[in-house]
Amino acid sequence: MKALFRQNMMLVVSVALPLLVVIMFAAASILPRLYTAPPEHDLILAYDTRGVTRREAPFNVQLSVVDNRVVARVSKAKESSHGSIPRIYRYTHETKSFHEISVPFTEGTYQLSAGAVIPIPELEAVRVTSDLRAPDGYEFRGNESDSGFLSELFGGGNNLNSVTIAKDGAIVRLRLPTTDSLYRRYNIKFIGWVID
Amino acid sequence: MATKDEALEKILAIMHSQNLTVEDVEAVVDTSRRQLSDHRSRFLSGILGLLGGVFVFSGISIFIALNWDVMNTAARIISTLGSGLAVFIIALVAAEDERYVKARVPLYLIASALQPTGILVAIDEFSSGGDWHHAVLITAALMTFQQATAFWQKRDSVLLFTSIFFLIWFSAVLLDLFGADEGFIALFLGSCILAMCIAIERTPYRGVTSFWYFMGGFAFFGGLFTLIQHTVIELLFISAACGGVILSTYIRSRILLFVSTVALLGYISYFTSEHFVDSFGWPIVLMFLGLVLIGLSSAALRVSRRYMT
Repeated sequence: MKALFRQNMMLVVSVALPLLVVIMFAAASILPRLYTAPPEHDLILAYDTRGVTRREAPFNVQLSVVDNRVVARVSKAKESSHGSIPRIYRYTHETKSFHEISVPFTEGTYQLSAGAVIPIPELEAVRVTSDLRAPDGYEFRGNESDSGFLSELFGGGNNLNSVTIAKDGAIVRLRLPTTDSLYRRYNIKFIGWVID
Repeated sequence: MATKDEALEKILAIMHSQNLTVEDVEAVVDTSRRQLSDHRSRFLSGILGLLGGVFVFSGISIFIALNWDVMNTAARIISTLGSGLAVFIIALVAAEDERYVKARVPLYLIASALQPTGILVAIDEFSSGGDWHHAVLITAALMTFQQATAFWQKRDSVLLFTSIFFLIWFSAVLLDLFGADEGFIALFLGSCILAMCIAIERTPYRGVTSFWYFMGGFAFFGGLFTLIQHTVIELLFISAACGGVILSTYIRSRILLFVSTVALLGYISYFTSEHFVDSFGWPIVLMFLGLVLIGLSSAALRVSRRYMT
């Protein structure tokens, strides 16, 4: 047996070493997930539709968190460009899925002046923190598929419609509910974590 | 020989005169057949080895790229540095086994791409900012040490090639750290590379010099041109290019001859366009330049034939 191994050392090493790397890689990726509790808070993201869909408007809608509430405020777009109304998504940690929150947009909305607030009924009773780190320790990391020269070198950056959240080495990828190839990573904006 | 029969008769005559038996001739023919077959299988083995290397590298690269954003620190380091080290060890083992000796070349090259990437990833993950020069210097120094040590042990020209690469990388970044001018860095490193190539020419590893003559030559002439452009000694560039042609004949390097000729032609084109473009005689100069270029290219060809074959 020993002689057989010695004669075929190349094959042994070629199988054993990559296997060892795979085992180490799997351990490094899976173990933190086993020992880390899943996310306990919902996440709210906005997707800027400018230049991507037909949801354009003569003004912009800025989403922000004021006093733990999500506020959609009208701001005038530059004359040379069209404004847009962002799409809002809520990630529900229990179902591990996103759903879109509708922004009521009527004819009257066109008449709103800069600074006016557009009510979003579904978010009126929701308390949100704009801290990147949720109370349960999960941190919003966004889309890092273009974060380094390595990805550029190897042609990464294909996961344009996904973001990641991480805690203690456990990383969870959240995919937005679309296969829209026009998604741009910079268009996905973090709004906040739902705290109750 | 006019016909096959005549040739066979001659062989028979030689066999009789030298007391050679049919078995002797058969043995020689067998050896010749075996050598031809060995050559073919080595060629095939080399091609398959390279293809295998490309597939392995593509597989690792695509896997890393697709999963980069869901990898934590440990996974990122293992997938780059871990893979690189594993491939390097496999290459070292392959170099010892005659059946896989051709596979070592792509494996060494893959390891040389993955390992420094892994070290840089590790530094990036554990550092909190700082000067990028330091990260690259550490990486290049580690890689130079590893490749040079392996070369010292294995005496493999691939490892000499990678050692030179990492040494040049280290030197370039070190000079940049000390604020050296880009032109000076290119000139200095180009000279060093050419000197190194001349030294290697006298060793059994002369196979690696072609690439480095090319790189060294371009770095040298590029750096020199950047430094002396628009100065009173700008015309010295022509002397340097001619010196390159003379040196190429002395060391019998076609690549250096090519680079020197390109440098000479490039400078003549630059000089005429810079000083005569707006003058009335520009079309005449262009024609004259064309004749000079044809003359130079023919001279280069003659030099190549006379001194390098």
